[in-house]
Amino acid sequence: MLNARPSCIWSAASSCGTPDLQPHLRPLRTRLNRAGALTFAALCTVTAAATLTQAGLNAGFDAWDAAAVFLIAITTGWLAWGAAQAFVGLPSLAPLPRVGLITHAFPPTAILVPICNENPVEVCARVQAMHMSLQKAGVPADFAILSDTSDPDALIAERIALAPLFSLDDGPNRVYYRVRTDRYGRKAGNVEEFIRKSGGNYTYVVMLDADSLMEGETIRHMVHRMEGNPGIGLLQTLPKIVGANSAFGRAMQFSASFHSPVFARGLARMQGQAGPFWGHNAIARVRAVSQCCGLPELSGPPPFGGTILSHDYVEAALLVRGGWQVEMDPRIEGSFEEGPDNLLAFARRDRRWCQGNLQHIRLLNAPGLRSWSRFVFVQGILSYLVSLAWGAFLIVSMLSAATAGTPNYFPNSYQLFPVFPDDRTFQIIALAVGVGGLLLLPKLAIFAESVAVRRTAGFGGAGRAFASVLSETLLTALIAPLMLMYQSRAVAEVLSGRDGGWPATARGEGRLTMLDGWRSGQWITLFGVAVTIFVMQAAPALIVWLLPVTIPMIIAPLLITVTSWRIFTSVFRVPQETALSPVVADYRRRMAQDAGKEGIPNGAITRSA
Amino acid sequence: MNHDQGDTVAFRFDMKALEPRPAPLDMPRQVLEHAERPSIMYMVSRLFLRNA
Repeated sequence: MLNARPSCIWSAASSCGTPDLQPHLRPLRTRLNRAGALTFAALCTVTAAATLTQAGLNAGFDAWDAAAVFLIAITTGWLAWGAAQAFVGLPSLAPLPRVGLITHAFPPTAILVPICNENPVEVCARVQAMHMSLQKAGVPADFAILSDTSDPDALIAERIALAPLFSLDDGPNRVYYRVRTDRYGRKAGNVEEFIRKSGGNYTYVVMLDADSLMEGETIRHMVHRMEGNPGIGLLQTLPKIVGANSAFGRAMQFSASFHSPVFARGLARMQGQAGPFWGHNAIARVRAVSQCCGLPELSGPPPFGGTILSHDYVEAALLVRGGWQVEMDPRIEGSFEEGPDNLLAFARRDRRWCQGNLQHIRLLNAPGLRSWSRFVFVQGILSYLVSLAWGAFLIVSMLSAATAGTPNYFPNSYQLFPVFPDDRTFQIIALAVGVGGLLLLPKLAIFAESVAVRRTAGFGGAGRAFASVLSETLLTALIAPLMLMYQSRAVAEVLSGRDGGWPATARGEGRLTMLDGWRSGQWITLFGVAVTIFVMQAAPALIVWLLPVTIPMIIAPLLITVTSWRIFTSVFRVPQETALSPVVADYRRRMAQDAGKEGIPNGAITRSA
Repeated sequence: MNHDQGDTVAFRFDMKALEPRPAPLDMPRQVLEHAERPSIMYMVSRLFLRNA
């Protein structure tokens, strides 16, 4: 089935009616956007490498300088690529296409809710809220709760908690539930088993996570979009994060609402019809999925062999290989998810993603993939390797300074005046400003864009939005060294063959104590102290330059703890709080009613982050 | 593959009835790895074994 292609791809799609091709997805525009972004990243890379080379040449170019130039080229190139994505996304997209009424019968659609040792009360409340939303929208779609729950206590709790769903009338929105004991393929295998056994009943499946919420009208819109273009295999939304309470969670929530739409527009423009799949909050054509998405186990043991962990990227690549379009549309509203509420939960999720993305090294040479799909794999891999490169750059800089000999002021035998070594300060400051600019400019540009299109109102006005941008930037800068350490450790573990599995996040770990923070961050503190002592001894001139890295490292336990604390909702305000979406409001109301509900045994109930 | 694990618990719903209706679809396993090429040593040994 390597060359399996849809029977109604573009040429045929035209005969099926006018396909709903979005203007920004036209192939020529996609190529131009990709070329522009790549050129920008290449120019920034060359400039950074040339600047550092010049600085090295001034004082005698040695092996340390060569290593530093190589590393700064990788890291700057990566930053510039991210900045380019934001710049490409600055112009607005055309308004979301209005979808007409489906004249024929509404296509059979299933909403898949794969769960595995989740909090069943939350799952039930979410399905009930979406069920109600679908009924209001008049969308006849079934729910299929696909349980991989293995813990016996959790399974009992799950059945008791989900019982209200099974009592719902057999109307247009039936709720199905099945438990799988063979957990082959994890989440992807869970969905696959549904497609294999029951996929023939449906034209479309809406894929959700246990913490996803979608409006009925959103699902209606997506079904219409799929009906309007028979060439689309998968349509991905940009879910907004809701329900964050802590400083860390709210900063992420703000960033996902304020910055992500612009980055996502850039991504949509560059990926074109070979867009991403993020595993949830998306709709897929069952025929496309069944033709293209049967994932094999990779040969060899984990972490590089076995089950494909980051399956969504691979499924998107396989759909594109099969001739289907994969489209991501950040304009679609009414799609929500929850995010990790503290740095530890974030780092744990990142560890899983790290292993999943690095596993894609095995797939770079997979037969028949489009070059852009391979490039997407490379991006995912680089997103973790770059942390190692940053760490290596800092270490090389320290060692270079530590091993530098004293300057020779009289290099010639007969010399009247001393020769002073050239000052490298200008080049170093230029480099620091350039790297800082690549980090800050996209955020400032996004703020300017939000003011220009009057998008700041939902974020509490321009002043409050700007304060939030500054606070989020400061918080990101503070935790960046910690993430550098966590990601470097994750990469080192994976490369050394250590399988981290795919564990769910333990429930109830929102607010952390100082003891939690110390236990999880002490190794970073010790590393920070060791680096500081080494630099003070070996290269005291560097100590000031390294303070933005060493101080957050030394106070890592404090940062981990304090950022997990609840903060006022006036900080990092987002539109989805001031104008609560009906499905989110309904979910919260149900959760408030269920608070303290009896009959749910305490067990290993967890939730995925 | 699917089993009712809650038999020990009084549960008023028929778990079988709750499962999605069957409508099987073919879902072939995709090829993601190139067939492994035999090593030179393996090929040489095969050659000698064949001639032996």
